[in-house]
Amino acid sequence: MRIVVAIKQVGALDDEFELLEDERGVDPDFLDFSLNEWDRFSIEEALQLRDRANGEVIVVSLGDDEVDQALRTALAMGADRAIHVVDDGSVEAGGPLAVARVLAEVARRERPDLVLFGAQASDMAYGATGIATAGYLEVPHVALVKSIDADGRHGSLVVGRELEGGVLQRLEVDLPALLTVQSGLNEPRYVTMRAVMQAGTASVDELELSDLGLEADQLCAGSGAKLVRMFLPTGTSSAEMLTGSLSEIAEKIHSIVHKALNR
Amino acid sequence: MSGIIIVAEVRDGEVQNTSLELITAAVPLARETGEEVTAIALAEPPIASALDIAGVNRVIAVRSGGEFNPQVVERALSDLIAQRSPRLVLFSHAPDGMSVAPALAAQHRAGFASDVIELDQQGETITATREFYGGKLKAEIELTKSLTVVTVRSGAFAAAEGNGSAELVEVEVTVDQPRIRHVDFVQPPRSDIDLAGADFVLSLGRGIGDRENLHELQALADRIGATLAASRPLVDAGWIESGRQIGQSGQRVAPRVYLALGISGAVQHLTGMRDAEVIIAVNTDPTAPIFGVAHYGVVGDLFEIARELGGTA
Repeated sequence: MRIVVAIKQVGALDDEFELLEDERGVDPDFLDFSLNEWDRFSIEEALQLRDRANGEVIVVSLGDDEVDQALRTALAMGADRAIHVVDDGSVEAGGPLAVARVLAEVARRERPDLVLFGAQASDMAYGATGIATAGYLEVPHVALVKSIDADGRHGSLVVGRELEGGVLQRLEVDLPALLTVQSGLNEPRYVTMRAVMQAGTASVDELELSDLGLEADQLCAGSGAKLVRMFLPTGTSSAEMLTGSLSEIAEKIHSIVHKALNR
Repeated sequence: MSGIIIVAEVRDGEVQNTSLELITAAVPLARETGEEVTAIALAEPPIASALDIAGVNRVIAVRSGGEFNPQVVERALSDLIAQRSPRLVLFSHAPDGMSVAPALAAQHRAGFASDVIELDQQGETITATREFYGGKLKAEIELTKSLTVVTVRSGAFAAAEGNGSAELVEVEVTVDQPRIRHVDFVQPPRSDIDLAGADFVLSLGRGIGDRENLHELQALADRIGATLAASRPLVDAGWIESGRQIGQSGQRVAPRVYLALGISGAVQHLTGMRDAEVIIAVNTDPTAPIFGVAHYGVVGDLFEIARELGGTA
C-alpha cells in the first residue's frame, strides 16, 4: 500500500509579533515553528497501515526552510521518503485551494492508494486543504476520520468520521482515496530530537513548482481568494480580570462561585 | 451567475441549528442583489421543510434513500450548480461541510473561504472575514470569482426564524457504483459522569502539563464540589476518560459555574461551554481566546491558584 501523507510545519505566534509591511501576513521572525499536531496522527496512521500491508510512506510538505524540520520528524518516525515542494509563501498566500492544487500534483505523480492529511493545521485552521486536494485528484474523500479499519473488503477501508458528541458515522471507502484525520485517531510514536536531527536529509527530494508544471502567480489568480489584510481583533475580551495576591484572587473566585451557586 | 444555495446538515432526522444560521447569513446578501435563496438537504421532504423560513425561496429535498454520503451530496450540488448557476454556496463549517465544500470548490474552480465569521457584499465582490492563529488575528478575504463556496462557523450567525413561503421541490439523486457506502453509526461509550447535570464544572486543559498533575486537580474538584471535565487534548492523550470531554465532539454543558484551568479556548471547545452562566478562566497567556468568552479571568499559574483555592475551601 503506497500512502502519501501531506504535512505542515506550522507557526505559532510569539507573545510579541509584527505583521508584514503589506499587512497580509505575520513576519516569520515572530513565529515559533513546529510540526502540525494533527499531522502526527496522520503520519502514525500511515506507518501502521504500511507495516500491516508491506507498503511505502511518502511525506510531502510545501513551504520554505521551516519545512525541513517537519520532514525530518516524519523520517525519524519511519517514513520512507520525503518531498519538499519549495514555496516562499507565494502559494500559501493563495489559500487552501492553491496549496491543494500543488499537493494534488505531487500526489498524482506518486500514484498512491491512500492520501492522508490532518483535519486542519493549527495556524490557519482552514480545515480544507485535504478535501480540496481530493477534489483535484477526483478520488473519494472523507474528513474528520477518527477510526480506520483496514480489515474490510480488499481495496477498501471502513472509516469512522466524527460527528457532534463523539458519534461516529462509519463509511466504506474504495481506494484510492483521501482522508483527513482527526486528533486522537491513534497514539503517535515519540521520536527524540536526536533522532530527528539524525534523520538524513538524503531522503528528501526537493521540487520546484516548475517541476510540477505550475506557477505561483497562476495558482493565486486561479484561486479567486485574495487575503486583503490581517488585523488584531478589537476589544473582544469581555472578561473582568481578577488581580491581587494569590489569596486575594482565590478569595474573589470563591466569592464568585458561592454567589453563582446560591442564587 | 446568481442565487445563493444553502446546504443543510441533518442528524437523526433533524435539520441542524447551524444550517438555520446559514439562512441568516444569506438573506442580507440576497436582498442586496435581489437574488434567490435555495436551501438543500439530504433528507425526506418533511424533514427538509424545516428550512422553509422567511427569506428562503426554494427548499430542495434530496432523496437518495440513504445517510450522508459525500459523493451523493456533491452530485446533487453539481446538478444544481449546472441548472441554476448560483453565485454563492454556503455550508456550515461542520462535519458534512468539511467533507464536501472544499472538494466542490476545487471541482468547480470556485473561490473558497472557510470557517467564516462575517460575510459582506460590495458590488461583485464578496468579502469574508475569518480568524487566524487561534483567533489572535483576523483577516478579510476578497472573493471575486463567478462562483464562491464558503463554510460558515457555527454560532457566528443567529439561527433564522419565521415562517417562509418557499417552493418545496423533491429530487432523487443516485450515484452509479458509489465509491463510498454508509455502514452504520457508532455511539460513544456510555459514561456514568453526569456533566450535563452538574452545577459546577472544573475543566482542565493542556496547561496542566503532565498526566501526574491530574491527581491533585481531581482532589481540588472534590474539595470544592465541582465535577471534573477536560478539553480534547487530554482525552486524545488518554489521560482522562472521553465522558469528561467538553466541546464540539464531546459534551455541551451550561452549568452555573465553569472554571477553566489551562484551557486556551479553541473554537471547538468554546462551542461546548460558552452557554455557562459564569465562566472563570485561568491561563498564563493573556491573549488566550478563552478570555474572550470568560466573565472573569486570571492571568497566572493554575497550580498556584489551585492550591490557594483548595486551601481556603
